Amino acid sequence: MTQAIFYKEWLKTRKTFFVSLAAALLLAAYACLSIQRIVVGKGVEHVWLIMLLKDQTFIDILKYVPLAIGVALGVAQMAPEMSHKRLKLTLHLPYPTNRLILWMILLGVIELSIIWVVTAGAVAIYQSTILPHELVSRCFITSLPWYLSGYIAYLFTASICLEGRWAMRIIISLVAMGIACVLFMQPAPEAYWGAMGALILLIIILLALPYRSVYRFKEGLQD
Amino acid sequence: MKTASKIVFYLLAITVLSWFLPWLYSLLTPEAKREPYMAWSPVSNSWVWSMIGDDNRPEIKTLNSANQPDREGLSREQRDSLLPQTYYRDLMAREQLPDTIQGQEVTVPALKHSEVILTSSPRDIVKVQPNLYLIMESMPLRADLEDPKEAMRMLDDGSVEFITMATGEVNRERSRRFSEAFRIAGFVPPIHDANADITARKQRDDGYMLIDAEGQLFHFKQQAGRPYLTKVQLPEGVRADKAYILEAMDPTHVGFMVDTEGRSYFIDVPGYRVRQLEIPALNPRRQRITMMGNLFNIVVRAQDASGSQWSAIDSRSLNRLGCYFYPNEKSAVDKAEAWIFPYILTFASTSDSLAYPRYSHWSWCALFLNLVLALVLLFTTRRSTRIYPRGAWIQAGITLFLGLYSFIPFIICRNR
Amino acid sequence: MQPVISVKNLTQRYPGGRLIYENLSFDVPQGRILGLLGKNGTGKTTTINILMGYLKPLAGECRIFGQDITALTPETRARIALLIEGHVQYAFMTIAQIERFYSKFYPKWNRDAYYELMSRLKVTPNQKISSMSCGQRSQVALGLILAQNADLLVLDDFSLGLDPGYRRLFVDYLKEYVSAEDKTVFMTSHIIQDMERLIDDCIILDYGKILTQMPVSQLMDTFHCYHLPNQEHERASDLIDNQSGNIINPSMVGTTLELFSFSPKEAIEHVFKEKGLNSRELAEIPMTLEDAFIGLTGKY
Repeated sequence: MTQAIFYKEWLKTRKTFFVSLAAALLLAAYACLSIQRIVVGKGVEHVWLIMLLKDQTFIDILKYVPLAIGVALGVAQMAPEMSHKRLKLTLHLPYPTNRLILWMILLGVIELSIIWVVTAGAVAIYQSTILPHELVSRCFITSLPWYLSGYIAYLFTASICLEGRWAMRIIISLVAMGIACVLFMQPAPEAYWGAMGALILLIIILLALPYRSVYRFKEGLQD
Repeated sequence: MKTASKIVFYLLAITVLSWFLPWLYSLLTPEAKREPYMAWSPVSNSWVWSMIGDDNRPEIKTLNSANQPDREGLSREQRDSLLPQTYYRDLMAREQLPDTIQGQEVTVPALKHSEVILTSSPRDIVKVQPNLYLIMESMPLRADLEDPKEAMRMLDDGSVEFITMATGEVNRERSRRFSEAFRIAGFVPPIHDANADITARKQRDDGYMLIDAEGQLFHFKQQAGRPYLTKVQLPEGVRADKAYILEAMDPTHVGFMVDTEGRSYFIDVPGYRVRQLEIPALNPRRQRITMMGNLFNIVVRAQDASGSQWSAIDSRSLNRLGCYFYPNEKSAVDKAEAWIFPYILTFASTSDSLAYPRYSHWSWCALFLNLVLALVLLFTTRRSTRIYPRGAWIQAGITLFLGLYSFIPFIICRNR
Repeated sequence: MQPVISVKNLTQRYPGGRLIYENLSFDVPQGRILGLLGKNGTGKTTTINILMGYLKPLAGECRIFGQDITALTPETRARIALLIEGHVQYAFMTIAQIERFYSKFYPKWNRDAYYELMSRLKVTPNQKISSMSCGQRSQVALGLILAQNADLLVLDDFSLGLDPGYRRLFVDYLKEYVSAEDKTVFMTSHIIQDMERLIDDCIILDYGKILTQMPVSQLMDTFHCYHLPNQEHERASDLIDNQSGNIINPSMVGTTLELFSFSPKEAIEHVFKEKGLNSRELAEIPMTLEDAFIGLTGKY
């Protein structure tokens, strides 16, 4: 049964997954190319100098990509559940509801993780050919909160899609925007390193938010 | 899970509002905070205080020994005469530059030569820095300085690696030579603080001021590819916390250092003499520090949320000439804020480059508003349900402490 | 024997506060087909939503297979086949994918029953449900219900959007399946003529109340339609305006007075006599279930 749940979620999300993966890889390639342009034009030293003296990471173009992918995947996965109130079918499946929701969300999280690992891995592999591990890890740590923002965006989007009332959807969206602002307010490299534990904790407690929407749906709180 | 998911929702809403509402409040109540510009006059031996007034014209005064402004304002010409170290160009144009002040000959080259400038911001200090240090050649073969070609990393065992940036390869010979220098100098890893001005657009490169894990101070540079590493003998019990390389025209003051107690020192050559400045304690991790030195005096300004501390010392003796504190007084807007918000949550700060949740400004005054909001929650619930349900008591109780932050989500999400 | 569905004192209101019904109680015994009939907005879908646990009622208790509907176990849910209004299914799946998906959840899954019905559709196994016509989609939904082999079928307005051919196909298949397998069915529809061929018992809802609740055969036996031709409007209007307890929804159709009643012809004639009306030409008209429904609920 668990396999069947994953199968259904995969059918809904596979297109978005592949498109997102391709888009993220393209943008990662663009980020790498922009470094390569400097390498060819001014030499690798210049890249080092800019990264160390100007606190640049050259991967800013990827900043909002995980956020957008999180939203896209959340919509692709959860919007079909709510169109024509299909969630009724899902909740009627002979499977414990809490576990069912967990597997649904878990699949989204796994798909996002694959995209993050491939994208961050591609950037890191390129960078490690020209940069020392300190700068490669600096770029990675700088981009970590961006990737975490993707999970946060996904979980909020799932909650918003599964929510049955527009008023509450707007309220959750406002809270989501507030949390997203917090994740992008400090542009300095590795600025969020000390807050990584808090961010991971935030994602863990955010896993509960889509449940609230489902419980509300089951109580008949729908427009 | 149902209750947990509800708690999570309110927790998130309260967290966002705890940050957003105070931010919005400060955005909607902009205030122009003005501060005086202070300089020490070697002519009158007093502070010269100037501030842009409401009419956009500078108000210039001298302060008496009790730091009270003299009643008479000064004209620009009078100010120029009092501060020849700053306005010597105008004085020269008016042929009013004195030949000597305090027995010192005043010439333009001497004035230029004696300039020392240092600025330090907590944002540049309190941040995550990679274990990579760009190393310039302080004695280049050609006359001009060149951009660094190598970077240095310090390993856990205290040895260093020189990496050729172009190839990413470790220069083994140089690494060995420099590791040896660090070992001989008694440098204890890891590097606690490193300061250098990495640019080819300067007259001279003095390399780095380095502080090791035990608070020992070192002057470090690369000369003709060889290490130059000197341990600075600090006074007994002094532990360095933050050091700066100055690279002023006058090479005497090679560095400036603040110890763990906030005492500040010049590191002077020859001999790497450590000379304490007679100024109040500094904290470079919390204060913006500006230092302007000239032939006669050095003015240090340390600015933080409480205000600006100005100190003037004699350039030669480093003895205190005067101190002046300009407090950052709370405006009506700031005072009102304390009545509205029980606390403030921020994630970033102007005084560092880090992001993490910071809880601050717990305000007892806000409890009055909190109480009113809690009662509103209770009474509005009673009006719609004719009873006081348990949930309403819980919400009111939370609002008593969290005020507006919990009141808004509770009231908005009711019946939704 | 314990009823399959047991509803006791169910009370529900619309979000705006309008009463849907109060103290609705009914049982659906095993092997019976109960139709919940009512005009639009009388609370048919609301009742199904409550029964399936998608809506919390204001008051009352509902049990399915003896379990409180707020805590149905997965095992009990496996015994219930649900058809959502509009034959909604996972439209992003193909007919093969959806069969593969559902088959994992139901221990008595009958793959052949599904594919037999699908073979009648002019679709390929890889055609997405979203690209099918409403009729084809209804067959997919029906096929899934048949394959699920559930003990209780809950069908919400199965006729919605279907043309007569598909409606008939649906009804015939369902009827044969249900009678052969001793299944219990709880269904709603706004097209009453389909129900007539299918249901054993009916509950007819009006706005805010239950009009009647009995076996269809009993309803058709005891509920009558009477016509009294050649009536002047003025004289009949007295009857229309002051309808007595046993006369329901009297109205004028041209010059004919039409009325409904659970009372026999003699009792109606007695009422006419009391009102001073001539009832010599009073005739009982044969009715379909739809006529009876309209007789009970009124034309508008």
